[in-house]
Amino acid sequence: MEIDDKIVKRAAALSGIEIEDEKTEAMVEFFKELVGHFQGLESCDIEGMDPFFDPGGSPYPLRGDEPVRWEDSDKALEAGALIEGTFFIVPPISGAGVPDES
Amino acid sequence: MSREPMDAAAIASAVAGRECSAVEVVSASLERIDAQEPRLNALITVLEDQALERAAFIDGQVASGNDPGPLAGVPVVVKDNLCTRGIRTTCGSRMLENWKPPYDAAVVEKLEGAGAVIVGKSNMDEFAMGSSSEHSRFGPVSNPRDPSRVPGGSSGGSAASVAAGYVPIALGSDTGGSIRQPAAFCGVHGLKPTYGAVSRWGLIAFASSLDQVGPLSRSVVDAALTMDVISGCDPRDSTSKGGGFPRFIEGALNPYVKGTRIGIVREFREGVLEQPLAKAIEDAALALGESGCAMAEVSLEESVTFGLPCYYIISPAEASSNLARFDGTRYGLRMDAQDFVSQLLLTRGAGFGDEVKRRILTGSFVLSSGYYDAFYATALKVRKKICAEFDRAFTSADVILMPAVSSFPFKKGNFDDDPVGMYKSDLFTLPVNLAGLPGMTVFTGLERSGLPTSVQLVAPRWQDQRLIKCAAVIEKKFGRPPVACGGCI
Repeated sequence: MEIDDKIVKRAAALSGIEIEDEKTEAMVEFFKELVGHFQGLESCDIEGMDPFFDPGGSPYPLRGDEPVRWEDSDKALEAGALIEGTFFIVPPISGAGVPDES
Repeated sequence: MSREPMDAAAIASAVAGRECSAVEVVSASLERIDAQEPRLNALITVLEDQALERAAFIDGQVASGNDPGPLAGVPVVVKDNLCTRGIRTTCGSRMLENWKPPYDAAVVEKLEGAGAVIVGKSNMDEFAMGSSSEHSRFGPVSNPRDPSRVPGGSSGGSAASVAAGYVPIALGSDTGGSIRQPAAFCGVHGLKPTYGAVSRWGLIAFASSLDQVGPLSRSVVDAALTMDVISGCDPRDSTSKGGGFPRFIEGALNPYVKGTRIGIVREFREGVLEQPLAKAIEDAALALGESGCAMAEVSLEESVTFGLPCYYIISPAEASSNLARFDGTRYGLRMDAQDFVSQLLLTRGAGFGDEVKRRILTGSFVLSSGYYDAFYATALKVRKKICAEFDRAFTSADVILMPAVSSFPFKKGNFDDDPVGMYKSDLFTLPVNLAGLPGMTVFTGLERSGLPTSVQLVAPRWQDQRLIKCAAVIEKKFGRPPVACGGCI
């Protein structure tokens, strides 16, 4: 499989991470080596195997879907990145369909 | 009181019996931390005031005739990916450098409920991604047995804290060996319980089908004591089942193993280990044989051959999803930008270190359109084969005896330019996570160089007690891990 900077930049875009140009080549080399190891799985006979999702071995009990009233909003707000009064501050969203406030 | 660091069982007994106070014990622990920490950097946060306050509370419980719990006054360290209410929980990352959770992890609640006193949050590889504890926003951790070497990772700070005598018990998390490999490198015991045996509520997730919390300790009794406290079902973690375990402490105190079949792994007999580590396997087998165990040969060929690529597809895939929450909006670091997308890119670019970025990108790649079937879907099927191989091995063995590591701890910086080389140090531990099994690193001695040897024991799911019993037999033969680098003050 050919690994190049286009593949790495696509993975970076999907990850929401920007890779600086000077680090792209090292990341390409890393991907090449790792994917080489991954391709070793081709020699494993998995004919008829089901995918494995559950190391617990049986279905997990689901929590009751019950809303819980959060009594201490100050405590919750402390965990936020930025707050103003009793609200989290969230970043503006720009782009198609969003009116420009200016 | 004794200047020698005591084990947890002795501390709890002495505090409950008023032979010493919890404040004295915790003060001694803080003195050791103060003396050694400039050299080791094992802790990100030291909780001096909170710990002394908590210790005084435990002493008050004892004075008023209340049961202070099975870990009364025992100083403990918890890895810094376990949430502690109002105390920063960083995951070793700039992303969470100043983040204070509004709640305690389930295991923190349980430890404190049992009378333990948390004296520090341990240093770690960022978001538990690493095998050396060098990839931390807060600097690398040093191995107390030889500070020029790494302590292993990602729970390197927890392992170093126990080896250096800061505390008798620490908690770590293990996704591909992150308790067992640093335990081996630092010369202590480390147990990864069965997947689902310990609640992960409040553990900051790395790879959710693999993560598990467990103890590191200098005695098997202390590991058992901790498991009795932290294991059990928690409705807040849907993967936690627990319940039904016998009391671990009884297995540690009365390790009857006669008739237990010990599986020696054929593939690890062929020159893949440094000689003293190979000899440790032979010596442990002899010790178990002297106690009435029978030896059998088992094969883990597919686990050895395919475990590494399988793990390094599945764990980054899960990590890329779990770490998507760090977007600069909900908690942690936020970089200023004009719009959400710019802010997302800036925040994640600045907040994550290189190793975390590598793993997130790898995860996004193997899950992406055009590569999902070739990599992720294939790895899930290979994982099933690895589980089946362990199941087969357990038809002829009750416990598998194998190495935890193939070499002694490496020098700091050894893998700076070779991240994939570092991944290979997890070869013997990660198949155990893929299969959801319990595994335990057991200390077997120190070489003339001062570096430790160890073995790994692996049991079928929910048979963690077998590990404790066999570990107690091995400990009886080889002795407990000694405190490193002058832990006695």
